[in-house]
Amino acid sequence: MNLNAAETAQTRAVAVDATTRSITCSPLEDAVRRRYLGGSYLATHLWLESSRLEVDPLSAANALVIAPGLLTGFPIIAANRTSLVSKSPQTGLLSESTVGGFFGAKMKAAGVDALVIKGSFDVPSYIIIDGDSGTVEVEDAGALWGQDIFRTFEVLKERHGEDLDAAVIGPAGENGVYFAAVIFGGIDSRAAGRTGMGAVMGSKNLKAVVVRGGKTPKPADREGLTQAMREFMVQVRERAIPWGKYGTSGGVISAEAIGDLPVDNWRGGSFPGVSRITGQTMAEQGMVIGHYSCWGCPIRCGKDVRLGVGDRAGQKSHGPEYETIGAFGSLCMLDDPQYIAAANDLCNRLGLDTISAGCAVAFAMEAYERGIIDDEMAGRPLLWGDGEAILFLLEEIASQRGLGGILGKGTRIAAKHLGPLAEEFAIHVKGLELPMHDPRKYTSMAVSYATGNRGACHLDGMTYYIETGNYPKEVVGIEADTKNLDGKGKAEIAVKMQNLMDAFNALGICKFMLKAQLSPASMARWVECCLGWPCSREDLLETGERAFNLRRLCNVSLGITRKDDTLPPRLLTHPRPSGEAAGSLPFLGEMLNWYYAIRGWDNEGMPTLKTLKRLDLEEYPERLGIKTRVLSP
Amino acid sequence: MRSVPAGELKSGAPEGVEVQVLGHLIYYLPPVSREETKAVATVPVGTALGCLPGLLDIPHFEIQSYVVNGQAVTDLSRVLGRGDTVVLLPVISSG
Ligand code: SF4
Repeated sequence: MNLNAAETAQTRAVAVDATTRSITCSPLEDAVRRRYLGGSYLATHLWLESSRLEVDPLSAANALVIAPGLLTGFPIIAANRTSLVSKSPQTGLLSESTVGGFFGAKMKAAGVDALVIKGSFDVPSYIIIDGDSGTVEVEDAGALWGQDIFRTFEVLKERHGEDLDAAVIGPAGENGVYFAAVIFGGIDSRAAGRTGMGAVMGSKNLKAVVVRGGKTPKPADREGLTQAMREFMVQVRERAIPWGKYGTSGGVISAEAIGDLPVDNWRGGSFPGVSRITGQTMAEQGMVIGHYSCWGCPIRCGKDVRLGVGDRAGQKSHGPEYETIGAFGSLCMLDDPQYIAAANDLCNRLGLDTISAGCAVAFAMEAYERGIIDDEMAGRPLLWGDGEAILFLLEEIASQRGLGGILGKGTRIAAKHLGPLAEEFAIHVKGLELPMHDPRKYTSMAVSYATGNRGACHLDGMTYYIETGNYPKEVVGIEADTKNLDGKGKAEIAVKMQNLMDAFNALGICKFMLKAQLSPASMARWVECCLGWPCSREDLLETGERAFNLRRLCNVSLGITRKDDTLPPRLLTHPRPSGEAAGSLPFLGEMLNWYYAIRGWDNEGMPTLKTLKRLDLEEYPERLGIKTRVLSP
Repeated sequence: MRSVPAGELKSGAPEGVEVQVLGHLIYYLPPVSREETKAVATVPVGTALGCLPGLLDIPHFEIQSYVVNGQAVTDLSRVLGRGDTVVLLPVISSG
């Protein structure tokens, strides 16, 4: 299939029907682009055009849409993100996973704004988008199937050249692990980790999507954009670049100090071994051997480490991020950074989401401690803090062997297998395991997790930026007094930040730019400079709100109501026993009432008709099979 | 305002107020003042809370809260007196 005219390529969607092997390219209408922008929002729209919500997530009928953000690939600081949207095997909901790196910028350069993959290949295959030749083709991946991600990436480079990027799955995705990740960038890994998009690719016999070549898109107003970047760079230089020295892993020590870092499968309050697993310690001990960035970003928060244990000891790997250190470190009571790095490396090679994998391991360790799992079932002892046990379980999960076959379905399903007692310590929301920010510390995160459209997701809200006063509340229109927050104030923070985060998702901007206090007004100016469209702060925030509500409608259609907007019992009833957040519990019910009211949803968490009308979403209830009589006026 | 090098005046020095720094903030202080997850500095009696970032070379936006004698204090003009103890808590810096 020929893409034609890469120069004018800013408006194209490529559809690959894997079953028939037909490839079509169609322009994205201007009205569609202006309404859905790009990234997660555009991908959600295209998914709804291609699939039905009731599909089995691992069937050929479940489309997978890959879409860079609207601004991804333009010469903008940290505009590099790509969204993968599909129905998740892990949550059963229409979900998204986003990733930085270079892939999205390369897709844009190749002239593709969205790739829609339907059906399923009869044999292992990969898709290659070549921006230089203007072609999209399907190649045989028989020799790659079963290979780990790093090896696959190397082979793809040997075949297609060094300048490519690729979205690759490993054995976990091939074997249908519900939290299988898609890994980009090979050893310099960036992961679309959450919600099991790797399993969706695996179910399609799709080993990889490769992209190379093409031309960087030209902004409509280059001078204006250059000036805007100059201004933003001042904030980046002051607040974000110094942070990049240690990246996210540098935050572990602070998270523990303030009571945000989960400990001992969310039972603990303090983690005595924390100083051994911080990014700073890894750097001081010589583990960190380099830094890397995503496309267009001067911050270089990615770290290269030299592995000290595991089957790749002595070799270079991607350094563990904060979430990974929390998941395999404090959550599993492991204070050896070498084993955390080895677990991270194994996840990146096998294609596992490190958050869900770490949570699944911690869940298994607690089940072992309680005698619900024995040595025979586990295949070996599963003692807290045992790095070898973690590596063993990751291999078992990826190959779906033994206990790994149960854990690989996620903690929600694993707990159902293991019985009611296990359900008490399966820590997830809507099937998605919690990330490493304790909602008992910054309790606006509790309502944000509970209402997150893909389940418990810190990136859906990042409300702690407001609660800590680290991001100016005025720029998103938050009226609450953040020095004296009540339930209403916390709910308002969650609503407004979720809307902002969905705007980030549509534009493809890295959310760490909150550190540099990136405002929606600046983002709107960037849209004007790049696309030449009029765009205001209000436009962007409303687009974010619309995107969030559309995804909520999809969830409503799949049966989600107030009963699902909750937290695991442990986090609602058991305060942290020690540390800075000791004794605190989130008052979720009150926050939820305010949250629904502020969103314009009814008491069951359904958007009212009035809200849908205001957001121009009235057509969706019928399209999504929601009976409008169940919606309040 | 005179900066007192961290580690020079240690906890309990009569002419100073002890400031405990937690989380990643410890890396702004000299290594000698660090103990695992905290660092301790001493500032002169009479220092205003709002002057601590400048004295200790910690960017103000990295500090989440100032805790004086166990209570979070938002009035940064508060002047520290003999016997006060201060804890500086960091912002979330994981991303
Ligand atoms: S801040 Fe880090 S994750 Fe974000 S774009 Fe820059 S290098 Fe990538």
